[in-house]
Amino acid sequence: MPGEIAFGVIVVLTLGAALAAVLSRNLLRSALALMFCLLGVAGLFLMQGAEFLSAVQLLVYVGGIAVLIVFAVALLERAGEPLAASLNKLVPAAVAVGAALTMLLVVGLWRSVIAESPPASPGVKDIGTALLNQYLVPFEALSVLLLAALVGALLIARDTGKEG
Amino acid sequence: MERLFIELKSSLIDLAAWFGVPAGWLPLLSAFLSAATIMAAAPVIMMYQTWFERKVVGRFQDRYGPNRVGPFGLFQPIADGVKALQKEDLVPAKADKLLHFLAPALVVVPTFMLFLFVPWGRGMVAADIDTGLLFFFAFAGLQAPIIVTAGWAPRNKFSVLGGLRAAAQVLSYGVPMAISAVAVVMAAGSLSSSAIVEAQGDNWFILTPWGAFAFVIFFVCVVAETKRTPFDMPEAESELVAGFHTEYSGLKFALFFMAEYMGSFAACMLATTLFLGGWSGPEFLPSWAIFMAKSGVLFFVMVWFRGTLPRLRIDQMLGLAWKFLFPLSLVTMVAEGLWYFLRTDGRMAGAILWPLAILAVSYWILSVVMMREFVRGNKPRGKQDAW
Repeated sequence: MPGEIAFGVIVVLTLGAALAAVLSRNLLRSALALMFCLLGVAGLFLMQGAEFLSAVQLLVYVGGIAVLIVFAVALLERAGEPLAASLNKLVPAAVAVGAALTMLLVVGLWRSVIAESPPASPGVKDIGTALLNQYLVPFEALSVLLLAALVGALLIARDTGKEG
Repeated sequence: MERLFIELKSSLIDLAAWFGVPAGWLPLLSAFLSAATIMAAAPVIMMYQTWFERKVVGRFQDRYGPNRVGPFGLFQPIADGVKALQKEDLVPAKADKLLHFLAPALVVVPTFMLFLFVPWGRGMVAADIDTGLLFFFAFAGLQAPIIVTAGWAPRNKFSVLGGLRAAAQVLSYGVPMAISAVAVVMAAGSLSSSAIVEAQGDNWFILTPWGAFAFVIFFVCVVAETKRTPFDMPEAESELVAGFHTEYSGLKFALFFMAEYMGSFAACMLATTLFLGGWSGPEFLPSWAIFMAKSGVLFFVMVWFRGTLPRLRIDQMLGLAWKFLFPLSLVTMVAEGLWYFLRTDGRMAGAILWPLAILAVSYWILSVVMMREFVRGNKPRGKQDAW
């Protein structure tokens, strides 16, 4: 019973924050609402017993990506006013894409077999061992990709010293 | 005395079961009791941190510090709290009213969460999970977006700058902090804070060659993460009025203040857990008292810094994190690996000398590079960054 109540609270928080992120006309409020939505997702992961995934969701999405978004918005001089419109002429297209995605997810969920009880979630040690043995190549390839992205971003953003 | 709090909690739960609370709700009650204890204890600790800091800084500056309210000024924090409650709540006309209202409340919440993941004593972790350390860092990082929001909400350029500085600082110092903690995780073989304490026993990690370096890196980062002098750039009064909390008055300011002090104590607790053997110590003292005493000593060191060191410049500060502490923390990790494998090989002298040699050489190289950087960095801007 307490589990279901907690689940309900987290779902309401997540969905409410997601709606607020889309509907708010103030950029910073949207960014903050997005942060709460991501926080709610971390809570859902935790409720399913995926502790590690939940911690990573918090570290990467909330502690990293949300910070960058909020940081960028706060740097915009006029982020508060005039208020941005939350609807524009692309509404029909957005609705169509959203509906198609929902259909896809519903059909996918309908067809998949859901186990009675969730399998025991792997511990941090199991994940670490799997990453460095079985999945070593994709893991290292991803690291190189991220490093390349980092260097590329620095190269684009660097101060060439010409305007100084 | 040792099991005082644990027995108290289990007897309360037994009482609830006796009153007919269904068994499904008892874990929730247990979690609630732990959370309530933390939410009561942390603010009280914070109140006496402010008293302690004012007394000690007073001594450093050859004054008495607070001594009017109660014996030795012990009731001063209560008087301050009442004062904060009575103050007028000023909201700037152009502020984003909702965020200006929400930010101070939001900033306190993740700080409370930090206390869930540290072992307050033997068997006294509120959330004893496998990934406790990861969650601690996750919630410590949660502060950054909220502080940017807090700085942005009043639409004051000084507070925006303070908020952005705070975010840059928390993000940059988070990296060497986490990596120096990784060295500890490697040695203990676990991310759970209680397992880390048990792995140390009486051989504290600070007494190992890599542990001493990692502890210094970790502690410097912690001081920066909690925005205390000499890293209090986000609220540098000579540059930014009061930084991100310039436009908050009364209780709203008090909440920022509370988050900051509670955060610094939680960080001292984590440093104690990781490097100073947590609650282990002489048998005749209860484990929670030992843990509190060790954390208190670390907080004294923070106050000592504040009484002694001048403030850095923002570019010097971020440079210190990325160009000095970050590479050194990576070396610490390698040194830990060497120490571990040489020790399991039975080569005790090598296990001490090799890590020490590596760390000493890289420390020397990095500090020479850093010094040159500092000297060059004082030239006019525009010439220094052309790489």
